[in-house]
Amino acid sequence: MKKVILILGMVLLPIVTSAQNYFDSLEDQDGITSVIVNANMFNLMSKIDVSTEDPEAEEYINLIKNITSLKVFVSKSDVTTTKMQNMMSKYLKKSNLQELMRVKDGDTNVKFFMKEGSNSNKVSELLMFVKGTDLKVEGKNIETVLLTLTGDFDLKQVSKLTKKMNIPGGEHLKKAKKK
Amino acid sequence: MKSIKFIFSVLCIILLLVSCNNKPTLQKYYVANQENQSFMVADIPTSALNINEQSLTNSQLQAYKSVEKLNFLAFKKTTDNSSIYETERTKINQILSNNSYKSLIKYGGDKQGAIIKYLGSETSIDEVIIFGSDDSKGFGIVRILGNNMNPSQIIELVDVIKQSNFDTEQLKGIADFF
Repeated sequence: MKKVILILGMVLLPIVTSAQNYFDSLEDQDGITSVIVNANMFNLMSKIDVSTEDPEAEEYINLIKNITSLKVFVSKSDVTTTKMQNMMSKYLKKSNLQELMRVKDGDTNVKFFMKEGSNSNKVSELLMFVKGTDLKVEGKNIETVLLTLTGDFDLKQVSKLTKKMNIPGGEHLKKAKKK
Repeated sequence: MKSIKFIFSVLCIILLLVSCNNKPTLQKYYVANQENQSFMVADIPTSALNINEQSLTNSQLQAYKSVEKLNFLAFKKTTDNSSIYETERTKINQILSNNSYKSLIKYGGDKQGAIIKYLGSETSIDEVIIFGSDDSKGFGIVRILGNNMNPSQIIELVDVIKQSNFDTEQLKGIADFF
């Protein structure tokens, strides 16, 4: 009997505790643009043969190898922004993320949260929340950006990636140092 | 204790039956809608790239040979068929939600959406599926079909495509459809 419960528990545990799926309900929300990149994609990308003579490319591959998922949600209206904000505060409470840093830059507020990874230089989860009135992505006005990254990676590498992807707020990450 | 064992075995059998269930596949969906007026279906073999195989290096040739064809299906949305658009889109999403389709990237905008998935394993891909929809235009699915396509060869493949004399006229029909 105990065994059965144990097995059932083991089967159900990932379903119940999977924080990764917490924000999934935002995907089909009107007014929110989302980009989800799965672990499969990162696995495939890390298998691509790139000439390792290019140090920058090598750095990307190293980062990619250590990422399991990337989710970006962009909201353009007050309603969806409030919803995103509520979801985030609930998530922060239950997931034990620590605040990494906060940046106020004019009208833009950027917050970073993280969870420690396999060693003190690594991060297993990074959450970035950007809120502002004059944010622009590819010429379009947006209000809020929520980005989550999971895996086991180095913060310094991430700032380079967010910069490449044109995600506002990412540049502040360069200044971030783990406490 | 016995009853637990019984329930457990019944569960196992149900699970087995479910997994053996003859689920609709994309291939069947293509075939079923081939004759349908609202759909456009096209098969583009890699030979349409007009590649001189002699000019390729061995690894390029291997990459090129691993891809067989592109399979294309499009549905044009008009004012009359918006309900069909919704049901067909749901059907495809249901097919793609099958676990054997591994999710790569998902994009969801206000009126648009795109999903990229693949079938096979990390080092040997059998099929890449790109499904995009736009609530004002319609939707389209592109399937890249092949045998043991290896992601490490993507760079080689790009080189091959650069060399190709692709006849863009063949794509014009697709573009005109929307």
